[in-house]
Amino acid sequence: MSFDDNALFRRHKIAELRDKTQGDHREVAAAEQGLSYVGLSGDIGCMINGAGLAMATMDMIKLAGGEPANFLDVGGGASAERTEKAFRLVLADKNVKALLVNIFAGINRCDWIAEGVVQAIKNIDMKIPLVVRLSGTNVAQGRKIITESNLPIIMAETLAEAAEKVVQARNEMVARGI
Amino acid sequence: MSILINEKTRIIVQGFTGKIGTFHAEDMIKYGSNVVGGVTPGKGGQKHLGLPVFNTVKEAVHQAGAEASIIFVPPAFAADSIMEAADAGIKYCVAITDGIPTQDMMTVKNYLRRFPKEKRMLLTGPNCAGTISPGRSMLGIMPGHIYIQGNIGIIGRSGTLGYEAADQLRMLGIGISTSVGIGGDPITGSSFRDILEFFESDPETKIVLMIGEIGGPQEVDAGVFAKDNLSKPLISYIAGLTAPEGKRMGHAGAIISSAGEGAAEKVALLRELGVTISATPSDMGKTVAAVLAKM
Repeated sequence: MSFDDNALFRRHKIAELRDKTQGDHREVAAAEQGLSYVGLSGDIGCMINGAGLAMATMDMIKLAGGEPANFLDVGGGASAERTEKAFRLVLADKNVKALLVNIFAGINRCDWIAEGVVQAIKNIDMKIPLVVRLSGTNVAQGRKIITESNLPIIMAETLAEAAEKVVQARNEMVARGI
Repeated sequence: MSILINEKTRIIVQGFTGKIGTFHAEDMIKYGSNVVGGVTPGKGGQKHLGLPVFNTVKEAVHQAGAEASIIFVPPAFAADSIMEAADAGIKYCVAITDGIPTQDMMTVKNYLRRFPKEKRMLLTGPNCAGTISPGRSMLGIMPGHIYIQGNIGIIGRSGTLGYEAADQLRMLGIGISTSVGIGGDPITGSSFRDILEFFESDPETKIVLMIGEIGGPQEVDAGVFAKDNLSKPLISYIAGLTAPEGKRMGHAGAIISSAGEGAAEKVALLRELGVTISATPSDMGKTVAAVLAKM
């Protein structure tokens, strides 16, 4: 039997029956924070806006020779706070050896996202390589913020380049025995 | 020409005075869309963004000549808003709202079927980014500046993946006649096939790009239709090669629940039907350019 998540707001009695202990703990934690996350078995973490672009980016990782650790759609309004939550969620998976952020800013703006990413990394103390690809509104300003932050962030311009760079970064981590 | 909307299309916004409705109404007006007002029950008679607010869609149709509507109403009430638009005589409606219960959409579909075909409102979405005829009218939430005017028709289930395609085309100097988001839900107002029919009869559209994903049979249905009925080349990319079975990938409709619903299977079936496949999402622009060069 399957229930429509979108209709659970009308069916409290059914919603209460959900046994969270039986779910993937990463997915349960994500759902509590309102993030759309699916845990997978690979080791490249992903943070993307939009479900279709997220699936497409995972495809690119696979084609570049890597395996995605998760599906994560951060949605349209990715604030600095939300970005940090998403980072923590992806990094809580200890298998993750490199992280790819791919944002196409529509409603959003690349400079806001870049600020969120920079702030999140400073707060988290990240130990794995991060590849960021920004596209769309205010992309030049966004890239400038990341470059000027002097953080060890690998920038990519296209979807293909982003996937190649993250797989390469992951392979270097593995080669170093991490 | 373009399909569904042009610079003359008289647009109203349902959920006009809310935060999201206001934000996107402003954006559409800035783009040049002919927004003639909006609907928020209980706020009729007021002005918002310099335009009239109506209590009902019927009033907006009678008093402002509304032809098309865009819905920013919360999920619990969105189905009612869609049916109100259909009843009031709106010709084309875009439902942006994400999270409408599936059973509500079944009610909407049944309701729309009661109208004779020539009087039936066309619905795209829900859970979509809307429709844009570049340089003419934007009825959606997309970043309008990444779309240039031209001869490629785009239909997609995903918003951001559609932006990715439009941006790749823009970099190659290729423009778009109309881009239509049909939405990521399991039950939507229009399918790929429905929109292909419009592109077939549009002389300005030379090639159609169909951006599909895992879940449901509609990409293959569109391929079958195109084989016999579409005189223009059809190009497709299907997202979700890495998606596991039985897991919902963000979109309510993106779930592999039976044979033929995975990305690789859809690609194989579409190839057999003569559809040109863009094997990766980063090749969508290049694939269109290659087909265009041969025409």
